[in-house]
Amino acid sequence: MTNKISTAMFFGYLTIGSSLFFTLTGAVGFIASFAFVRIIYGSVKLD
Amino acid sequence: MGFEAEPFSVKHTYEKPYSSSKPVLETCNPGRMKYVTYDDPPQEVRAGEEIIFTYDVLFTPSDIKWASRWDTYLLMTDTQIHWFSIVNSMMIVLFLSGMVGLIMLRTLRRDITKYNSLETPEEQAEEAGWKLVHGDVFRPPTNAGVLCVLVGTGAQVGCMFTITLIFALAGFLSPANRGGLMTASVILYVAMGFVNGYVSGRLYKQVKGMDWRWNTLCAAFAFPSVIFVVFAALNTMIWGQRSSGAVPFGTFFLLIFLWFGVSAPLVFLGSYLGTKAPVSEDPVRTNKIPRQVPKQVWYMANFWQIAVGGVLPFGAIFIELFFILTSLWLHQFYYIFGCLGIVFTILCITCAEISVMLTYFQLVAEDHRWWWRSFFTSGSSALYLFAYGCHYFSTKLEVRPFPLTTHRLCDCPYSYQKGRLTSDCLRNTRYERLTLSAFTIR
Repeated sequence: MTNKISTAMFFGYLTIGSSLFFTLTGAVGFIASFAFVRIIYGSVKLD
Repeated sequence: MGFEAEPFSVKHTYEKPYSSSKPVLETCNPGRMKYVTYDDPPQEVRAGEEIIFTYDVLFTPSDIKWASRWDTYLLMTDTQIHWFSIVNSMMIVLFLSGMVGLIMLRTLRRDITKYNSLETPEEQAEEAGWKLVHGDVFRPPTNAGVLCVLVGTGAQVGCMFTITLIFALAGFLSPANRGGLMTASVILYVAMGFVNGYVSGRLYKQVKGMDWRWNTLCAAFAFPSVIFVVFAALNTMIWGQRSSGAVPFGTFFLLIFLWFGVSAPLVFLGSYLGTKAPVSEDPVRTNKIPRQVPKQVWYMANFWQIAVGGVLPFGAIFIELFFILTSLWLHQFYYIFGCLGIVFTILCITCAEISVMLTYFQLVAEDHRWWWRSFFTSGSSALYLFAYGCHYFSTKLEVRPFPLTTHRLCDCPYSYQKGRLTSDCLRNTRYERLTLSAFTIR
């Protein structure tokens, strides 16, 4: 009974933590790529 | 903070008759400014002798700051492993920076010079590489709104974490007061709703989203409600167990108030300002019809790129992760915020570099669907984090029935911790239930 609750607590908080971590790392990667793409396409000459 | 105990042997004399509730001693009496010294006659040990025990407490001011009063007790015993962790992360970041530097400085410069020197249309028709997809890279992706919300939330979490770290490093948040750290994080998370609104609103305008009201609502409520549902479910469960570990009703409503009353308005405000701010034009015009993506080699498929992308950011943090998990679940103190700061910085650099690098390879392969992939490339490290958590759970944590846990928890090396933990244990016993402190190190 209590084991189940402790396990649920662990995985619940792990899920919250991982999803926060997901948005954080994803956002950092995305913003960097976004800036990168804008820079490289901004520096080529196009007709 | 510290104390010295100094034993004295003193033959005490007192005003007769002896009153056990209010004895008046002649040899030790603060009212008469009489303190015990080495000059007092020592106590002889003889049969039938009367012995009176007394103590004096002398407070001396120290030049240790209040915030760092625990430092003596918190001195690291395993400095080496933290250094190893930092060196490990440094290696990863150096390796990646080398790769990215190579791409940026050599390949990219060569590409740009080559592209810009091509004059005739025939020459341009023959060109290959990332320039070919210029008409497609800025086409907004499918579900652009969801991406905006996720990026906004990520920015919010990042700002919250950075500021909390700065506060902790400056000594405002003592590690001895774990609740303080938690409270500060929650308050900062709520305050950073502004950043969330601003970033997601701005990005939404950049991808030419039409329905910015809906986007703002999602930014304010979508992600927090996921967290809240999990949190509320867990809390209800431990309420059912009448455990003291449950968040009380008052705090629960305070959290709801902070969410709807403070965080949401801040998101709206940020979103309003972000949408009002002018966005820069895309450097390249987007074609009407999407270019067909050529058949990709197997390792350029979404699955492999994303799976590989997460490894390095995770590799940069996983040693530190062990300490964080241990501090959260085994009631150890986490106080090496300097280390955490370095590792966090390295994590951000690694995420940015791996994502930029893989996006570059993707564009070179003439695949222009980089929006979501660049997010998932570094975001997939969260999957590794989850998997590591599961591994940690199965190998390092052992759920034991309560009495054993009491014994182990009270077996702590620090006396002040002992006091705190014992009272925790007592409280638990009173509820006759196990709270989440029921883990021991195997």
